[in-house]
Amino acid sequence: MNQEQYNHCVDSYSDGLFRFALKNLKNTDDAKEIVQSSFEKLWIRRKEVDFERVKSYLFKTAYHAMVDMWRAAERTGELTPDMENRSVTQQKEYTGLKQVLEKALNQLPDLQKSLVLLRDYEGYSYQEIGEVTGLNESQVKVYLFRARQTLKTIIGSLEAVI
Amino acid sequence: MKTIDEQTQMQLFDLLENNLTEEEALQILKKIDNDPLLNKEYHLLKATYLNPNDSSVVFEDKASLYRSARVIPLYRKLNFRYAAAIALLLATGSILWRISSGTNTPSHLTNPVVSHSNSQPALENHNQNKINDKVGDSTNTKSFAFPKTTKKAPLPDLTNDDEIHQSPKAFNRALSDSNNVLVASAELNQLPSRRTLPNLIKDTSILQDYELVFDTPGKPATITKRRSLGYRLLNSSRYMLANLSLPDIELKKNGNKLKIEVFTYDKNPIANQEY
Repeated sequence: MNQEQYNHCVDSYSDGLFRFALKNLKNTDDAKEIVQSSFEKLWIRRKEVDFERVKSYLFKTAYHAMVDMWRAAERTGELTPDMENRSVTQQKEYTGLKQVLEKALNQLPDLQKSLVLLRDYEGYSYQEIGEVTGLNESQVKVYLFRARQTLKTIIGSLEAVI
Repeated sequence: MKTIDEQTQMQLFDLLENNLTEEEALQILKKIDNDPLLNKEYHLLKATYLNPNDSSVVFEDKASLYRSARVIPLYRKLNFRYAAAIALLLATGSILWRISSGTNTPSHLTNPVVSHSNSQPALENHNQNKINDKVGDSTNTKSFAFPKTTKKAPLPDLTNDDEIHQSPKAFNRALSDSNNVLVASAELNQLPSRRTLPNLIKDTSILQDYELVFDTPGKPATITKRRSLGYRLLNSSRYMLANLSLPDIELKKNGNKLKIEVFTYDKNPIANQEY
């Protein structure tokens, strides 16, 4: 991959990668850091990474970086609820179902949330999601099913409240 | 209360995930149309899907990610510590080189260099007078005048039987450092050997400016070993004494003749001969 292709990847994938990180981490600075480090690694390994698989490489790198963050946060006890209360910039006001879905999504386990984001936002297949997360296709499908069921339950209950 | 079994839930999920064949999809859609609870479940499950066209999140710092093909100066790439280490290595190497050069330098060569700055070194005067006496022609010695701006060249003590050699690098440096002529061996502790001198002159880059001429046309200069001979460079700010014989060569630089005078200490010098 040459420099021009790399810059093309920045144009094509940086928004999606940032959204993926932001939705998972709920912190703008952390999400930016994830994006920066992912592209930095891509640049360093640009000669090894196939241009056709750049997107997968970026999301995989970002996902692993986020997993490291989650683990570090678990060790230091910095996890929710404080984390969830941090302001999420770049997001416009949500109304109706979208806002409900956002809240429901934030209640999912990290892995399930990542799978939903990769599936819905990036349109990844089970196989591609498996490459990013290290799961096989069956596991991906099962986790996604559980995530949908959880979301459905939460949305149903929240909609009832609203 | 009526509930939906897990198999049907999975069918709804597969429907929304496009995991079903067309026939299977029609079958479950028909069920959904006929069952209000299933219809509600279906729409609730459908609501769990995020809008892929959501462009509310944008990474605004793309400029920091772009890479350009600009050439980064080396000094920017170098860490300061590396630069300091390199400078230290160079300084250490230079000092060691000077020390090693100094240890190999015979005292009669190094002493005048140390003392030449203010007063005329006694040893140098002594040596110069000694050479002048040996030459025996005061008119010839006038052409050996030393320019005041250059370092004083010591005269080797030719009474010493120890053979003096000069490394090729040092000799080349002496050639290169000269203004328009050969610099004597003020900083040199060795003189060229008889065999290496012709090649040395040929190999040196200064030959781009000098023309090497031999007295016997078509034949290379032959320098044979004879301890009692030396040669002097006329028209030079320096003169070099060496244990050389028959340096039948002439060096020209930019049209300026560089004369080499050969003389002995035993006989009259081969003076005033231009080669």
